[in-house]
Amino acid sequence: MHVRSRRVIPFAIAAMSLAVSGAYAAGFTAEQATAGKTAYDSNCAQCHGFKLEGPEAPGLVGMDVMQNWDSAAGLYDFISVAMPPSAPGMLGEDAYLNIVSYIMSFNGAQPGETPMSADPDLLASISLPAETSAGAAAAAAAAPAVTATDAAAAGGLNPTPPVNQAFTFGKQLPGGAAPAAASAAPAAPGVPQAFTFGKQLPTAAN
Amino acid sequence: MKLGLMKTCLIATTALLMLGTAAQAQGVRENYEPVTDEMLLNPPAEEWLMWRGNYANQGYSELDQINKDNVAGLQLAWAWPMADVGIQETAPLVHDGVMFLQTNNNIVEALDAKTGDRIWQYRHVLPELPAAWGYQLNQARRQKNSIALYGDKVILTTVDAKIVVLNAADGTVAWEKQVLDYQVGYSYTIGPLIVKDKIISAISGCSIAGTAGGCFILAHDANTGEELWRFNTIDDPNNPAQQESWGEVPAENRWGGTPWATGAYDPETNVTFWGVGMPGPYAELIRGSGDGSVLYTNSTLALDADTGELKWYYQHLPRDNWDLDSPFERILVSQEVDGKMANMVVSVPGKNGIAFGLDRDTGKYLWSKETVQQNVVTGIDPDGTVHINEDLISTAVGEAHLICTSVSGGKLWMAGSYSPKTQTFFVPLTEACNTVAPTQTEFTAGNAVGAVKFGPRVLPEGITEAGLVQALSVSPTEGDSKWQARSRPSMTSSLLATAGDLVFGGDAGRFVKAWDQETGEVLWEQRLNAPIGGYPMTYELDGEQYLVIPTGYSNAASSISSAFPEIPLPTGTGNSIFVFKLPAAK
Repeated sequence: MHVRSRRVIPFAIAAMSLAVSGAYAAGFTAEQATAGKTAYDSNCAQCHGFKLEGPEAPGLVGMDVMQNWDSAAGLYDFISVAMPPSAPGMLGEDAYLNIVSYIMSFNGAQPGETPMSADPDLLASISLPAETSAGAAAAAAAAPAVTATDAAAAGGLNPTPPVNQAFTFGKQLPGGAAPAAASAAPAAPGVPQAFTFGKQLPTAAN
Repeated sequence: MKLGLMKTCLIATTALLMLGTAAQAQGVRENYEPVTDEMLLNPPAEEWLMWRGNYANQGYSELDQINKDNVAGLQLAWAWPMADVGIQETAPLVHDGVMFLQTNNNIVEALDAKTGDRIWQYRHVLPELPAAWGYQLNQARRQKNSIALYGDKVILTTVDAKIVVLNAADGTVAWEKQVLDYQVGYSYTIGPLIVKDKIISAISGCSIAGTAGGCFILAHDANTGEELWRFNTIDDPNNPAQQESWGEVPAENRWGGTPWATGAYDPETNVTFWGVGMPGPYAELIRGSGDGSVLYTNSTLALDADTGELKWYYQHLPRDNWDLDSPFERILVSQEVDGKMANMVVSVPGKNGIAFGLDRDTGKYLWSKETVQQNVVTGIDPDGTVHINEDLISTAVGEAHLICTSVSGGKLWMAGSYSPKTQTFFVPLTEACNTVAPTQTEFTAGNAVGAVKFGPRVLPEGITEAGLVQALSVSPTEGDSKWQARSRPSMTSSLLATAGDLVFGGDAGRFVKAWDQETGEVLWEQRLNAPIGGYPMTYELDGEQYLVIPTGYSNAASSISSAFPEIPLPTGTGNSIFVFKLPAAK
């Protein structure tokens, strides 16, 4: 697949590619993701949450999580050595591959016909931000409606406050995204945004 | 004894509801003796009034009933499960026969320190955060270590960025104040320092996207909650060198600088000493700060306690690219040498495990000493200039380097202790390395701005034991290795040194140990239910010395468990305290 030829795929490009090409082969099969859910729920959910939300250990949902792990290799190389802390590296290669598949699936990646294997080059070619961006976009679109209710209950919590980006955000860095792609990144949620999207807005007083 | 005066009476649930507190039957500790300024200045040996026992953050007790001749005979007096199952780093306090035990989620319990019976419990009601704020939710579940006692109050700092003041007698809320906005990511993960009617505290959450530009040490009036001063660790308008050290990066694109260990206080000079953590984003490639030193990250700050004015600073690790932050406990040490007092700050401030001695009055560098294996600092000049290994700075997104120590230490939150009796500094450490590679990410609300990919923690080449207790003989001219005690599992608790010539602490393998301060020989060990955790402490009641050992789950236990797979961690958290004493004399 063309995505596997690229080490890092910018979020925005991935979203646009999805819109054009539709289905993606994400580097794992539906069977792997299903088996991964069982393995995850049994070995990981106690700390990372049944919805991958944490909080006893870091949450595993969200574009920032996918961007930080970068590729299936990044996630696999970590968890197959260190996780779970009570039996680190002891679940077996298949279980770790299935868990990576499930985490990707939960984040929105779509299964394909080619199973994930422990081939380092293959794992490194599977971009987590690219493969999961459809799921992240859907979650971003759905989130305000849910959290607004929570916010009201919590006394006016702003569900999606604007946040500042790194000084280098949108700039070309060695090994990083091309300038055009990076500068398009703020539109990355992949759905139409309000006129004020990306701008600093006042926050209601408590 | 005072306990004889204690009456536990139940208050009707309806009355508590009227007060707006937890609907739970509570006891009252009558005739509770207020904690005075004098007690904080000179804590009674039989009590443990603050985080590390005294203003100097020494983690040392003058008690010597339990000593190296009889420690092998310790017996369990009582045990108690904590009120929260999450990661715990508890620092129990004892005053007037009452133990104040807090966990994360800002739960505080008052226990009868002799019997282990609960007197009251306070459960803070925390706001619900969106599930997508994963980092903030996780941060809110860790690192809550200490509370403070002052007058007839218990003072806690909460993960929703409040100061909450409880009545020590019954746990009811006297007043509370929202200090900073938790909705942008601020949270308290460490406890306050009380100095002369002031609550001095430091905020956390400064590596969460919404907190850009500000990370603070603050002082509030202990009676009214009025803010008296604040010091921003990443944006100091009074110091051009600080601003220049970030290169072109304006304050609104700076993060980090979290002072996440409670500060020390020197009453002689009225100066408070705080450590500051790493910069964000972690890698300068992403941060945009070039070769700037990014002050005051990874520094010691000396601040006037009345005004917050900066007296001096010293940077232990400039130009951090690897999340090797240096916020850990600053210990004040005074030694008389040739008729002159040498006043020092002694610390292993950062994850890379290098010990430092500084002149407390000027910030002048005195000495340093490496402990665990590290490859980031290549040398320190006699004037204190720290040189880093520039070969380990990534110059491209995705460029990985193996960094020792790891993001989990080396040194971590577990505090060392200093014995004035033997002039020795004892430090719990872990041998570990990990790869670090910058990533280019879009920041989101409630999540961190680190923007690196870490590899799993691994042992340095040639090392098979993760745990290390390092004893350093301290003088104004050097910190010299006195002994090292290594263990296969990583160290997971803070240390307690006592006048009984002992050091207490423990590891991920669930062993609590007492080491001989002079030799490092293990004189007592006991296997408990979970990794040894938190801050072991000691107190005396009715002529008997008690030793408190917290157990439970922490990041220190889990981060490098792959280095000792034959010693499996429990999957239950097991958060508890175990209280030991010697057999009663016959």
